[in-house]
Amino acid sequence: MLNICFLGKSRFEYDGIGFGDQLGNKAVALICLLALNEKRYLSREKIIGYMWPDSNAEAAKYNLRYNLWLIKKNIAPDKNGHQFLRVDNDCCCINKDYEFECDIIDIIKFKPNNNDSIEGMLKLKQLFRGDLLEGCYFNKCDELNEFIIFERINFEQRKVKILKRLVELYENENNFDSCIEIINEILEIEPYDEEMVLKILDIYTKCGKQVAAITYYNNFSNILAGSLGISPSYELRNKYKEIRLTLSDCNNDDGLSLEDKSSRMSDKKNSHSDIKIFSDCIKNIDFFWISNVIGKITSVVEKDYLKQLSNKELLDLSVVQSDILSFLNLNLNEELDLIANCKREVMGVSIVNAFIKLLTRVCHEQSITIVVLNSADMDEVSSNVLKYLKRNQIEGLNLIEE
Amino acid sequence: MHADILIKNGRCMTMEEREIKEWLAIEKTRIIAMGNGNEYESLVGKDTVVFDVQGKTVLPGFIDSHFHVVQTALNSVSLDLSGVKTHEELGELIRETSKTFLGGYIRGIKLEEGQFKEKKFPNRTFLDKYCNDVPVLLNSYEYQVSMLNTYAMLYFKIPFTAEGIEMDEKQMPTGIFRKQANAILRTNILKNITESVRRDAISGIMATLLMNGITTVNAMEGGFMYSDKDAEFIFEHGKEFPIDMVLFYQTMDIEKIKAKGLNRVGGCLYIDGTFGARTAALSFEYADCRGTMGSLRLTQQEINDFVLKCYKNNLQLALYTIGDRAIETALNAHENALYQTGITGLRHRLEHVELANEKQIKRAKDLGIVFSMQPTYETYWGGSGKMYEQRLGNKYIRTNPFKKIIDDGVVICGGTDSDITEPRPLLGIHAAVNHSVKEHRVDIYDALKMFTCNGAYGIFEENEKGTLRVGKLADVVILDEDILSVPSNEIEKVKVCVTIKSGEILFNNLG
Repeated sequence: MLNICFLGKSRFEYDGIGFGDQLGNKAVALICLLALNEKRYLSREKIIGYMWPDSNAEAAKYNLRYNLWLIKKNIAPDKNGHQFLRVDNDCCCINKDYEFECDIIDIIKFKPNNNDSIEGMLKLKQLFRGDLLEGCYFNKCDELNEFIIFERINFEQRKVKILKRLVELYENENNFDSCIEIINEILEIEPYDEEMVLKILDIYTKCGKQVAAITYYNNFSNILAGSLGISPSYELRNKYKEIRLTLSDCNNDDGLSLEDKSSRMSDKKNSHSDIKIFSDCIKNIDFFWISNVIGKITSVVEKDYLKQLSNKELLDLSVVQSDILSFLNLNLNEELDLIANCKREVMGVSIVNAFIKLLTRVCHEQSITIVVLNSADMDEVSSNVLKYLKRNQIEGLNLIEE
Repeated sequence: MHADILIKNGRCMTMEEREIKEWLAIEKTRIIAMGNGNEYESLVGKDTVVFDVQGKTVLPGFIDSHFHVVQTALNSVSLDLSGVKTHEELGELIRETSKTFLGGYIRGIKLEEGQFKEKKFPNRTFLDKYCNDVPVLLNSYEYQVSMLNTYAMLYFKIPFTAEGIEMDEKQMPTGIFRKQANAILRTNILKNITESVRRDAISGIMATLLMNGITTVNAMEGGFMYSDKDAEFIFEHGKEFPIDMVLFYQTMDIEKIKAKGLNRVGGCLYIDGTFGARTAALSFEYADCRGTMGSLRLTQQEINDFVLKCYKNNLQLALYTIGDRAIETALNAHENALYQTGITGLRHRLEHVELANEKQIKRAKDLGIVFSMQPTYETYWGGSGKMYEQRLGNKYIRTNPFKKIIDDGVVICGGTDSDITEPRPLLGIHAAVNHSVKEHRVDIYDALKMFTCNGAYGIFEENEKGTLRVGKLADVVILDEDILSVPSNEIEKVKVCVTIKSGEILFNNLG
């Protein structure tokens, strides 16, 4: 069967035997044009416009006839006797009935769906052997060159899409090694894609490979500095800090493997023992750090602790952290009533008092370590509250500024 | 014992205590004797090469403390487009070049949007009109922008999905690449430059360097806007060339530096950007762009961490700092590292340091930091009406205060930053003596020190190079005049007529 590859150096094989050398660049480009055309059907006039725009009409027609003859001569009918091309006086197209395989047609057919399999995706991935019509440039054929550039963009995007789909599939199967391998392939195309780097760090962390995560971050950070003269994004830096802190905690538990330590860390989050949260800051956004801490605490502590606060206090906290509303056990109407009846301009002092009470109540039962990331960016209100907390030293509350 | 080379009747400036000798003898790679009068006679044999220099100045070989070797070399075989004023003129120049084209691709360099009447870079379709049968790659002055014709779009590996590809109204690439797309494109192109191309290009510039008296360069290679392959090449092959290349690997990867056994890191490790692009970090607004103060490329914490790592690993560190805010940040990081480690004596360097204030100079002195500066910048950009004034307004008079820095005891080693400026130390010496701001001018002796003994100090080679003394390496240049007698405004006309590197006469225009 005929097999055609247009990605990388063009390749034409019939039952495994190559014959691409017999076709010139123009004939190859002509087949590529037809293959990429939605209906694989183009008028002679259009083809001439692409391939021989600067030739006179007669010469152009002759050139087209010659190339069509060359294709017919080299590409034999399939086993059912179908010719590869259908040609009439006006148009040319690839015969829909002709049996053949072509990399770009297979790739174009791909649309992500729930039935995608890893095998299928890997097969598609292997088709990307290089750029479309690699090494080809057609002097004075502006439209054809534009067409190739346009399609190269499309195929690069398709490649990334296929690789990302493969990452998802591997992730679903918890096959993290393969997942990382594919992400690295994406990063070869888009070396500064911080979303992908973040994903790698997440995967390493999930697998308890914090050391690998830190090494990966450091390498990426060096690449960014080396190539773009910038440092990693805010999110990535925070992730890195988080991993380092987790690792330093793990290292205090002697005699355990990193994997054990890592799973122990995540177990702790859900137990009644110590809690460690990572809080973040944004400059000039009042109450941001406080809001962040409330959100993190409410996501890890038992609901009972919050019940020790009055509805008024919870409502005060909800002004800066709406997650609190879910602890008020209200139905929607009650919630709306309560909000409507409550004085909307809650005094800062009420919020701060409620916040301190929340910390005091929770710390009474279990100790909390709050790691403050980017403390230099802390808003003024939170900064003053933090000073207050440090001064008054609530028992069980440990504050670490990074 | 006879000398291989004798230089007599000269004014041999030893660059030690302003001492001058009349003659100097070399055997093999070393200076074996120096003196006054006729004491040299017993050293002259039948094979001795004698230079009777008739009162001309003899100096230690010049040390260029900031030099991008590979970039200079590759650019020497590129088309310098800095002089073109219109797109059409650019197109015609490319058309002419393509007629004598030998293969590969045409590379044009040193473009700025502002130089064109059209005030923008040319796009792909424009370039195609003048050259569509050869790939054309053009680069902006600081390599932040690349421009390709259509052939080049299909010739090079293009990062089509990266950010920074300029698109036209039909969503087709215009051929102009910036940001990440430009960085990836440059990496793709530079990594495909073969060793032999690098070797040939570097060999090609050796004659120019020797003609200008350069016997040692601090090779600033790799990293942002360059290619790590350049640094790797100098690391592997630097010794194959006639002049000494001291590698400054521009990376933040300390592990890589340690693995290679290097004892220094950095060079153009960017703390900020440039005045030209208004990215140098200032403590005030740019005069020609209110609201803009430039920016730091790394946070104080990141710089602190990196500098501390260098101290802990006993690595000499060279950081790129131009604006006063960047200098401040770098000094903070050094102070922090010094407090934390107590390690001194590594002769850390700040590169360029164009806008250091009085306080910063004093802090640098206390920290033992060396300033690696490029006096020729003043010739290019200093003085009334030039770029420094456009960007900094009346604060342009604060740039490159050489005299103040030297008086306060900070060592300045001089570089040309080739090929940002010409690889001519004598032009740098002229610029330092003739600074547009009178109070920043230095005397000729201090200017010569920048490119000789101070240069050697900046790389821990003062025991081998930088001064003329018996036992030292015979890196010697002979000028065509007595530089101390030349009117200061004519120093740039002085030429090197002989360059001797490690006892080998590698350039001789004296006959």
